[in-house]
Amino acid sequence: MIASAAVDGFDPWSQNMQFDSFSTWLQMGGHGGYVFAAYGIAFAVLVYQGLAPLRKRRALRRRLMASLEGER
Amino acid sequence: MGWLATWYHRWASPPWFYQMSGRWTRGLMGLALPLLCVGTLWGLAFAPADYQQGNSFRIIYIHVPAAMVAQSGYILMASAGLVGLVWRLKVADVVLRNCAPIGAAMTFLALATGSIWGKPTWGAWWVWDARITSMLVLLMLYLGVMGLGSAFRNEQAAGRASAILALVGVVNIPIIKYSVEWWYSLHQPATFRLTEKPAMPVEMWAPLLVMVLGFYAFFGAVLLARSRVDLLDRERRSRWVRSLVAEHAI
Repeated sequence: MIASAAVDGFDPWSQNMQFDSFSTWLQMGGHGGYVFAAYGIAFAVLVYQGLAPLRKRRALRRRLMASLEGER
Repeated sequence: MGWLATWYHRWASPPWFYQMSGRWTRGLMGLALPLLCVGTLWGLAFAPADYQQGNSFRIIYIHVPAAMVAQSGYILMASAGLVGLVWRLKVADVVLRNCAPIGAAMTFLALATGSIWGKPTWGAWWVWDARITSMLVLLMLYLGVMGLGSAFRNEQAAGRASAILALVGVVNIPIIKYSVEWWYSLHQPATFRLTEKPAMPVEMWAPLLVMVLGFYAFFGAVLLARSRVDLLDRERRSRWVRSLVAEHAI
């Protein structure tokens, strides 16, 4: 697919912004509510999932340190 | 085949898995974050709007990657289940059980963004169509694996039950894939195929490719990060974990 992009003469750096102001970007031709709701949910889910292992790790560290202290 | 056996035995060893998965987590997250940022900006502002759907089409940049990762994640989970059942590997069991929460999150994301996209496009938040229903079944399978994992006291019994459910559920994967071809559906067919050029112009699919790669890297990073914490917990009585704890190295 990368190769075919080169054949088509596609240059991503030549692409222009599709909206001429911040407010038209937010409105998205009437679809702004749908688009930003979808991206908002995605952001929330990814952040939650990304932080989950860190939370698990902290809880485990606390538990293991406590049991190590208990043995001493 | 010698290298494969060596590779397999190394990754099956919990201390090796713990050490290597730390590097892989950092590497994959280092790829995922820039890919997701670039893909989001590209998809939201630079990709052209669809001539029929307008800007609601931009939801594709989340919907398709989430749905692809949800299905690939399931296949990975079931494969780990098979390895765990056949060779009784602790690492495989840990991977199986940590695939489920992130797989469920990706499936939820595919369903939620699809629903939001459906409203302006089809005029309905939800239709009981084959593609959507089989994705809902995928969500139930992931939740079932999560539930079974915590329903047993005994870790091995929990692992076996989860693995069997994961394997039985594999039958749903081809149903999801071919649902739009077998049955009449509102849902559009696949965007990417291995053998054909995409039906959409490159300006539209290039950011999608970036997002798909970003989602895969993110899934891999979170799966490994979760799995290694879980592995420490299960191996907490072993010498290598105890010495890590004593050195404050976890």
